[in-house]
Amino acid sequence: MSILQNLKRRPAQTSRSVRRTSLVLVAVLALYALLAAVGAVDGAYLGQGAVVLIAAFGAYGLNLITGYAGLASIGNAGFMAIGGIIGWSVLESTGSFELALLLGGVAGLVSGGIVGAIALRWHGFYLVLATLAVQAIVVFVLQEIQLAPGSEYLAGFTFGPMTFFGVDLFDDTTWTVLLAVLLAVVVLLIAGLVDGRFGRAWMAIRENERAADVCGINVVWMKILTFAIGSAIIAFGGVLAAAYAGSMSYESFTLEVSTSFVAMIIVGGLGSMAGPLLGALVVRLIPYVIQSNGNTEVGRALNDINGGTGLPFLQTILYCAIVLAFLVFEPMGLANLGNRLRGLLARRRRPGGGDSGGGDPGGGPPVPEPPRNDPEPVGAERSRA
Amino acid sequence: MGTLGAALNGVLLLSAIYALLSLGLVLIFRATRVLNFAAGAIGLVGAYLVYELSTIFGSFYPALVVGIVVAIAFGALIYLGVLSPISGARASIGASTDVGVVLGTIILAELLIAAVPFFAGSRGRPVDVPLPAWQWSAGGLTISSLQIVAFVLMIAVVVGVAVGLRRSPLGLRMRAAADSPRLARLNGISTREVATVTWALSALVSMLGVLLYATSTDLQPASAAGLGAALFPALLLGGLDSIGGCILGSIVLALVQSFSAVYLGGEWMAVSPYIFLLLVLIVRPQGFFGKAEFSRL
Amino acid sequence: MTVTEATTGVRSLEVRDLVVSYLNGPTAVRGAGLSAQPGTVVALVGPNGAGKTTLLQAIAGRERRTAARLVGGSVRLGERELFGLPTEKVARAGIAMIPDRDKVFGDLTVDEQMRLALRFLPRGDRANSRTEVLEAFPRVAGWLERKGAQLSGGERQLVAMAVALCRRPAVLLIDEMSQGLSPAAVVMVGEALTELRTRNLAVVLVEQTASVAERVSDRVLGFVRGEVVDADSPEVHADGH
Repeated sequence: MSILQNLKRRPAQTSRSVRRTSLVLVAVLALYALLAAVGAVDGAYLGQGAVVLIAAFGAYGLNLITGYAGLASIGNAGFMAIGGIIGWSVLESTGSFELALLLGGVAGLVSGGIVGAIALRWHGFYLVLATLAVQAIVVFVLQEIQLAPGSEYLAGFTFGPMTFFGVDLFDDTTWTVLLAVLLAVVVLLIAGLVDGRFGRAWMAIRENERAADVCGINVVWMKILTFAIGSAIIAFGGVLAAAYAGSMSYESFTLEVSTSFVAMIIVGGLGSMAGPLLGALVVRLIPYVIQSNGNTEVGRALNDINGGTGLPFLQTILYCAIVLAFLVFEPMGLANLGNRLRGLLARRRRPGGGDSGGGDPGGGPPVPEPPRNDPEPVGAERSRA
Repeated sequence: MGTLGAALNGVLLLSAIYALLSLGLVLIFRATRVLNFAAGAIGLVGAYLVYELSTIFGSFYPALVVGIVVAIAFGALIYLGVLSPISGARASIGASTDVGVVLGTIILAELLIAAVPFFAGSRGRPVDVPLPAWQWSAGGLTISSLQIVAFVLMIAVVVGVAVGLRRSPLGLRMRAAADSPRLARLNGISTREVATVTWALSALVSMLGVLLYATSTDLQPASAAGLGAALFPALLLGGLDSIGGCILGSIVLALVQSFSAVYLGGEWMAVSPYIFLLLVLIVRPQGFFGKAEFSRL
Repeated sequence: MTVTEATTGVRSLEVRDLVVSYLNGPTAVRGAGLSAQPGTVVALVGPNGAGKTTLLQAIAGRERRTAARLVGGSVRLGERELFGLPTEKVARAGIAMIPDRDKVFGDLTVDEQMRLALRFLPRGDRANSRTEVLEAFPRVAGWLERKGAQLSGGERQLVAMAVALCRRPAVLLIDEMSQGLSPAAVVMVGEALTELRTRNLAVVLVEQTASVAERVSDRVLGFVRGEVVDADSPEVHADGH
């Protein structure tokens, strides 16, 4: 019953905010690209900025899968590796970077579709396990190629000189402009999906799968398709990451990499338009902040706790703690900050009256009402249906 | 014959390790319908503690006793301090709590696996269990007293848990909460209490699993993380909610791993569980002992 | 972890001004009130979607994982205010509820389910209560070793009533009592209800079929759009029951 009401009611309410948020994002990206192009951004920051932009692709792809379709996945590293290696072989054989990007994305789409078809026929959490397997297997295959006797790729697969529609990609400025433009395209694509038939289907599926099925939504097909599209975006980001770095090697696609993308979408806000970019910014800047403080007194003291190798672990501890804090205290992520501020400014207003700046298609629930009592055990929802 | 013996070497120990860890996961899955990605990491914390204490005390068994107590408290604390608040926060915004909690356990695993070396250094720790040294060899096969003790311990723990669930009043409450949480609450059972006890118990068996692991190779954070992930095929094969199934799944997984290492090469050891996982997902995702509740939705 | 609170005794249920709303949704119960005296059966009838189930669930306690939010009101059992307590605490205070679905544990035998319910009583009373219930429900005595999943719809309803009775509750709430039952099973459950009435228990039930409600209850209340109304109000029978 409620699902039908929601199908009719919610999108009209939120499509405006999804569109608005995506346009703001595009504007921000355009401004950043412009500032970079005219040389107004310090060179040291451009490199950091490119790292954040590249991570944002993976975060947007994962947010589609986890945030919107509600499927947990830790396959980012695996699909980035798939995109990277396909992109590399295309570039090697054709010399076309455009084609490398395109086919890298297609490789993600196809492999995501296959993995989705294997795992998503059944309960959603089988996907987490399947993506775990994808990551391990892809890394294994790369490792076997790289470390084979007589291999030319011991140091990794190196990318030759690249051009994008005639523009040489050789410095951080051109890369920044390219990354910003491509990311803007991805943002608009996702906004279009969220605003359309997909968005309504995801919402229906998240609320009640069986009811969605009865309403004529092919739930399994929808999930597979979403996972494939998300994986395509992740793989596309994988081509960009490898190309920007200039080479790729199996060692860089660890489980921790996948986890860091999970961290990004949680910190940014699951199922929000602005969240992945904000999350990528926070999660990618933490190591930077820690390293740049490594030589202060506190930094040295922390580094010496375990005899001089503490800082890399501290990075992980810190960002994981931040993520857990977000899960507990702000489950809607940074994207909800706008709502929070508005809520503080307009306390008197009817709760729920505020528009969702985060563009949550679930109607952007207002500032969460604090749990009045000790929370429930996790899981255990099955008796409700 | 020699190769076959070598392939069977260590299978007893490995399947005991997997069975204990997957028992922890099955318990949590039954009670809360959550896949716990942090089992290896939680076990690692307990096992490290036992190692450190046994060097301080100069003796293993007192350290084990303290470790058991701490592991139980730690498991309960993790549920009450981290997972339960996450699920409460997500429920309060009307979002899926399952996804939030699964992501939470993934992050928690990474946090713990970084926290151990941050405080204790990343050098490997060999755990030395004082047992009468004894071994029996035939062909390439060697069975040591440690392997037998490990396997017997695993069987004892699994059977003990199964009998406890079947016979004890607490087990009855745990089964009721796993069956229908809402009806359990209507029957005056605090599902929160049950979940806390379950997490505590699960932390204990995970710790035993990681300790066994540390008897065969050095205790290292990264390998515990791998262990926490690699046991999912065993879990899936046995059926996510079948306690008996996790023994069988673990034995099969251990066989797959050691056979692939011996016949295909050592580098296949780490990846074979995942290939096996995909195969299980394709062929029989509900496992061999799990309930057939896995409808198409 | 045994149940320590006093759970037995004759007390009446007083519900006042109960308001329940759904997250992002409509207010499902708007200031509903009802009272149920020991030894009586109150039936709630009304069209689908009126909020009857929500009302019953709200009386039975707070559940965090549903979209329903208890906004305000009062649920008193004797002298004790129970509004807003979590379900398990309300259960221990003496209110039993048989939900519309999941009436019994599918995995537990009938005997085990009775053992769970008997935990509510002091040790010395358990054997007595069990014997009494099995005498009152002779059929249930024959199903003790069967699991909930192996029972038919009517059998489940009967077992659920017997299990609830083991606890000696002050109030029994039954949601959608006759839904999905065969006519013979409805008669069987109706007889069981007559038996319950002799126990000085206050029963509140939700019933779709008006004729059944008339037959088994002392008082019929209408429930329309989240409010308790007169049972003869035309809206109550809007969807033809």
